[in-house]
Amino acid sequence: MPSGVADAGPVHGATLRGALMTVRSTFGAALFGAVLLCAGAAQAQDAAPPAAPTPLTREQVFALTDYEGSSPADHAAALVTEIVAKLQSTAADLGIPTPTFDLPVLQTLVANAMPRIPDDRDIPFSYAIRINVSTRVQGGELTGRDDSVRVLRDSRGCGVADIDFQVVHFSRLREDDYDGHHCVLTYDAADGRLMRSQFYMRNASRDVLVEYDFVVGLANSYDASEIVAERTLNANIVLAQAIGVKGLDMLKVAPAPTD
Amino acid sequence: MIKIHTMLAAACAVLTLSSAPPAQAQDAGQETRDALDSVPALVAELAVKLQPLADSIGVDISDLMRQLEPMMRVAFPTPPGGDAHWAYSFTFDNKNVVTDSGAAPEGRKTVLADAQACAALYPLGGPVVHFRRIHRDGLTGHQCIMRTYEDSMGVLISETYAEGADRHMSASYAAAGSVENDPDAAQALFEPVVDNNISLAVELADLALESAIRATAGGTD
Repeated sequence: MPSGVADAGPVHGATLRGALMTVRSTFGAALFGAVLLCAGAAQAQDAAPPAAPTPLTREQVFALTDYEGSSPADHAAALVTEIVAKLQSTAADLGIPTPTFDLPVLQTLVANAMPRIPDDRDIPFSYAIRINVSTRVQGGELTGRDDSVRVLRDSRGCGVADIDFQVVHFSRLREDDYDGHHCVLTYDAADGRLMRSQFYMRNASRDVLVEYDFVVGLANSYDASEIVAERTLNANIVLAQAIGVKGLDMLKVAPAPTD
Repeated sequence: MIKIHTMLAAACAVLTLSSAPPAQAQDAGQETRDALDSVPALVAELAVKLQPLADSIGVDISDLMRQLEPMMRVAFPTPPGGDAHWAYSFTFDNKNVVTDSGAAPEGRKTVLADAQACAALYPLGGPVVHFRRIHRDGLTGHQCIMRTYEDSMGVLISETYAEGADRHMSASYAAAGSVENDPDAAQALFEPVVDNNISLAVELADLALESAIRATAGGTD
């Protein structure tokens, strides 16, 4: 637990980072390599969010366990399962009942977010999705979050130092007494084109941070990576925001901590 | 190539409210009530101008205005107290261009890829407070909303542009709030309603997009 938080009073929250999982399959004549990457750290419950996005490494994207023969539908189903599991775990950490999910809606959002290549091209590629949901509920004024995570009022704060990035989506968020933002960047990462989404909302005593990374890689072909990523960029933005909204819904009904 | 330009809806509403002169100054609460009392008339004015847009997307104008009126009300600032002279206004317009040949119409603009490109294109617009790429039913484009303060006025500007093979559309929304000779008061007036004006700008842009998708060459939409 960050010292600032520990000093601020009772806290309960959750940072969810799952295990690494790779899905790789043969899809028609093309090698449809898919990676669902849910990378994280032990002791994640109290981990502060990183000061700046860290591009995924080749090892993170490719050196993973293979699940041969699964179909794109299997990939989507696996990601739906991952998302539901993360949100259920968030609910447990927040001390609220397991939330209900509109699975058909979630399945549609995920299916739309799966990268795909033009039907007439055989391009081996891989993709990874990393989701991190972090919530905090404090008895008093909320403190302790890394300064890199604060409510942004315009897109200028979305930047990543020393990286040539594009802010492809920025919106200010407000609901009840919560303020926040949803900022989405794209840039070239170690092994392809990366989309990084940060959804953050807070009020005086609680906040939710949902980080969603989506990377598409084609060896030695950043241009192609961008094309493939671009085709599903909006769908991934929508999915990232949907996860953020669900996280906020859960945060709002969480009980206040007791001493 | 024969091109047919459809000037669509050209909806434009300018709403301006100023406080009473000092001799007739009222309390802020009364001014707020007076301002909001005038909203129905302004909604009616806007409804007239949005009628072609509603028709083009097959929506009853009454239903559309029932949706928009609450958004307009919360986009209105709370007047400052005392005898300050203040004003609030907004304007919206949109345009579709469709060809009957299927070819790209003249007058294309640049589709902006990111918020930085928007800030560079509109250097006086201020920080980008909302940016989205648009990919919808064959149209590709962007919506960029900026907000700035200059002297005693806050200004929010939304620029939306999207294009498809045989068409393009643009939609603009601008809102401004000012308090005479008082920059701080102007910011206090306008900033609380920036988010609601963003929401209204997004809603109006979506309506314009829907209209562009359905537009036909030679149509009245």
